[in-house]
Amino acid sequence: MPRALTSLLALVAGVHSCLPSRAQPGEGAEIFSEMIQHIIRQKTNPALSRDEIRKAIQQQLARSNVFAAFSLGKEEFQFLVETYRLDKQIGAGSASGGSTTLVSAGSVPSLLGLAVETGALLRSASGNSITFRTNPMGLAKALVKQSYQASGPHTDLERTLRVLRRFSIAATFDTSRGPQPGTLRANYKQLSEFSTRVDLWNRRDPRHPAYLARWGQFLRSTPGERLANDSKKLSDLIHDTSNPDLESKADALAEAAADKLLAAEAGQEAVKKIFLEYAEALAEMIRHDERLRDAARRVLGSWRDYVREQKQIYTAVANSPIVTLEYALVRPPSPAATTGPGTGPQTPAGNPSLPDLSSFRLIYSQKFIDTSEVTLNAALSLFNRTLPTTRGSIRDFQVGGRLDIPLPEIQRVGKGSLTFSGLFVRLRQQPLGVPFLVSGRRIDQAGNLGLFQVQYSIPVRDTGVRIPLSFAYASRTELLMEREIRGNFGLTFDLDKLFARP
Amino acid sequence: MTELGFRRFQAVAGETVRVTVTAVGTPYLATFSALSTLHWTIVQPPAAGSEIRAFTVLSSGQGGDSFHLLLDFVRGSDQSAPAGASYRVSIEGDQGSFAHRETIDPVPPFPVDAYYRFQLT
Repeated sequence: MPRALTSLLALVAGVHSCLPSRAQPGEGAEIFSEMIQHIIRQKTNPALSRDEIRKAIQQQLARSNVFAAFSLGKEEFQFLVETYRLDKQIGAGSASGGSTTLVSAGSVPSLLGLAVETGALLRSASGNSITFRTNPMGLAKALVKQSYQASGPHTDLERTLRVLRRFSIAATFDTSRGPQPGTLRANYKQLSEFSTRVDLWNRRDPRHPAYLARWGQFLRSTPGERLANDSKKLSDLIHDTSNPDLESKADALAEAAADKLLAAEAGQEAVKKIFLEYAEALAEMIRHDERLRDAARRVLGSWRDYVREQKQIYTAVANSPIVTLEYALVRPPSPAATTGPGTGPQTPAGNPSLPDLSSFRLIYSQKFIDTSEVTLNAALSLFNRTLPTTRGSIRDFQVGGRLDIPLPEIQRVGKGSLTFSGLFVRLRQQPLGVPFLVSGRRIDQAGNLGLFQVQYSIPVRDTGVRIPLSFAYASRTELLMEREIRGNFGLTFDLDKLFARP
Repeated sequence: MTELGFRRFQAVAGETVRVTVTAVGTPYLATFSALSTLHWTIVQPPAAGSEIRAFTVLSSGQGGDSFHLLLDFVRGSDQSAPAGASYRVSIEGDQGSFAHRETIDPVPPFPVDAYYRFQLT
């Protein structure tokens, strides 16, 4: 008898182990997060009629693949949560750093970037600098209140003005200039640099026309067709198409849920509660029917293959190189703003008019190992006019390299990044007007200079703010004539992240 | 063709049902499943962001048929789908004046799946 009881218990346990464990209420609900948000948006959209809102709700309730995934448990559909970032705020990922870096990155935010720096290595003097950078097309779209996220290169507007999109412009204001140091007036006196960039080669957007053929191939690939056919088989079973009037239990559940969602308040909790009740009812139906369960597993398997195939295209896009040409006009600070402890005069006596500086920079970016990215720079700086004391117009030339390594995500903080950068500079003559700075110290003497920097950029979660901590090594400084290591702290603010929020 | 309910239709013997899928603001990434007993006629393969397929109900008493549509959206470098993108799905028969038209927005996870059923009489 005890043996028979043991066998029975083992059998029951065996049957139960075949069934997916029942999820705790709300567990795995993140797979529906965007669907629930969409319903709330439709319910609060004054432009939609009641009938249109109902249809929008029904569309989400009819997504049998997602409900099938939910029925199999979180472990099974985790790849969807990760692929589509369903548990994260849009924009929480790593992005380009600010300009506290030694070598320029290969792309700029397409909207507006604001950077406030302290202790910059190569640009302005000791004061704070604020940089505004924008893509003319992206800014125009934001101003006409068109969705920033809709500003992909395939809209009609993009087709017409694709060339303009390749350009970006930036202006840097030095707040230490002018009658009220520390106050941003954004006037000509404070303008320290104006730059423009053109992407000579940039195909990092998966919607670029160059990838249309690749997407076409994907469309004809096996995983897509298999997923579609497996989805149909699952839906045929859920809706019991052998029933001649096509009215199924699942239809009745969906109708009831649509009625409730339509009548409910548009608040997050109310909508989520009704949606999850429906999801749980449908999931129970799938869990307790072996044919449905098997069909759901097949859908998940095909979906995984589909996503894997698609990721190969996204990886190819992300790995494509970028070549950018940048021109910068740099204006020298006024004598009052540039004299500081130990800096001394910066121009020959009796010559108050200092030449502006034009810099040309060619930037090449390419994915390196895994998700890291390498950037190479070559730059040439010229005086806009020569003085009796200068030797021609070429001031310096530089070559640099930078390696950005995205770091694993830190919970509740975000993804940081580690950057190694190095720069070699050949100063052909005294850097008149626009000072040449290393860790806040000016290099005045001609000659060669080597720089190396390590920077760790810490994101402040969901704010678009990043705090870079950096350590710099210089082969020499002008004043000490000795090797020096210095730490810097800065703050960057990427407004694209804020605009990109839903 | 007449409408029975949400994405449920009735088509009659001899009727040709035409399905048009059009991508707006995104490269065309729609995939059709096979039909259960009937067969697709490719009226227009995927081109210029649109695809047209049709099937003809051969005789009465065939019961039902169905198909699934997968609608995907190419995500940008920020991993989000363009908010302005959508798919327009149009289903119409050559008998009767009813036409089903709907717009499907990009709501992750992708692809968005849509299931259409037909009662064949």
